[in-house]
Amino acid sequence: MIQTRPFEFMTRYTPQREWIEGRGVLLWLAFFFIELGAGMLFVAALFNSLWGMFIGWLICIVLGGGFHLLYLGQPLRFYRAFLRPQTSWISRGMIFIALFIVLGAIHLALAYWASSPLALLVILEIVAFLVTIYGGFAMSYVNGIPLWNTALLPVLYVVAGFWGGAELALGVMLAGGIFSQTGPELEGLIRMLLGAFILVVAAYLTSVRYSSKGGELSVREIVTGRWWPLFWGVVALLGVCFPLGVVVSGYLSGLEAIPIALLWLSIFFELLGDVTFRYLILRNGFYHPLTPISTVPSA
Amino acid sequence: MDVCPTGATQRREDGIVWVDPDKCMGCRYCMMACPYNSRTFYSDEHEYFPDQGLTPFEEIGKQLYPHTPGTVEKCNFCMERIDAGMAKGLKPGVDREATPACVINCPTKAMYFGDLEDPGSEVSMLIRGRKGRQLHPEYGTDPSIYYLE
Repeated sequence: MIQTRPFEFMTRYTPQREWIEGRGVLLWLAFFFIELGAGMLFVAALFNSLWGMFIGWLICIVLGGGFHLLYLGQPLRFYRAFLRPQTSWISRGMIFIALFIVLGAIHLALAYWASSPLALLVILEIVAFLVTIYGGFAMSYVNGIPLWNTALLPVLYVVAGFWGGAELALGVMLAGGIFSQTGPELEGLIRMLLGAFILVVAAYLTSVRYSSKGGELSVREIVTGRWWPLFWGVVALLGVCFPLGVVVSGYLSGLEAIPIALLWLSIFFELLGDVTFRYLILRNGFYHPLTPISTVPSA
Repeated sequence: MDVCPTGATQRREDGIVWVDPDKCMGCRYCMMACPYNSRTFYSDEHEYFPDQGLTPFEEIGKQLYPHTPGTVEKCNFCMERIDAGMAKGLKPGVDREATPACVINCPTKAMYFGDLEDPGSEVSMLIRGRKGRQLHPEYGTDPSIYYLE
């Protein structure tokens, strides 16, 4: 599987390492928190939760932006990343994040001390959406890695970001004691996002599985190979089935009947499943061999 | 080259693609996008033999070709050597002093270097005569490296 001798360079499917090993772990966390924070702001704005928006904004810039900067080899040169939006998704993402920070700060300040115009909120929502989606586009542009090179990846990241954001916004409502006011509507949105997440993950893995031998290898490694305990145990069972159980019981017996501790656990497990699935996607990105595939004895 | 957000990866007029270490911020997106894994992240300065100091080759290498930690590097076909040779009126791929070091030092003469735009150059004739092919042409990167049959 992995190159062991110099003459074996890229003779088999080779995993990418720079974006997941060593300091690459920071990029995994950066993408997660950037999209989670932007998704949280997006959802919290729909429910007029100023605290939710503020916390989402903070998560995005402090954790997401912070991990991004820590990951860079030359962090003081980050300003150069704004120079090539015409061709680079990283450049576009940096511009979206900068806009998100500035517009978010203006909107939050105006909304807290005075009143913020609706147009500004609409623009901020659009920017938050772009922040949520850019990481998926950046990865899907990599045509050497079949697991990433699919149009479903940006969709998956948006759905995951919004779902995680909605769960966190629910947590803010629980903590603020305003759950009974807008909680049911938010729970309805969470139900839709949960359903969308299950569908998109299934479509994503299935389409990649049948796209190429490299895609097949990646999906096999995730679902039945080395990483199956993480996928089935953490992503599927804790990250999807547990929140699904809570959502279904809330739908059947009413939200008031669900213990608060269960809601908190559901939020925690959803985030854990989301960050774990992102890890699996980064960890199992394989490049095609450089030699003709027919000469490769086995994957 | 397109994915580089800082413009550090550049293509010269002669077609050589290189990374400007003064512009690279070390995001490594180009490493991800390269389907040939031909780029390397230079993380920090270290000795080839740990705790034994630099070898004479390393000392000279660091003087001639200083590396910048935290940036991405790739083969630039010894472009400084090519430029120096061409300044003397030499021709890359023909004259040793204007040809990449790996090409002139390869003990089995397995590598050739030259002008792909010139149909009469040795490399162009070899590609035509020995069915030279690129790796993974389906990615659309149109690499200048050809492998001969």
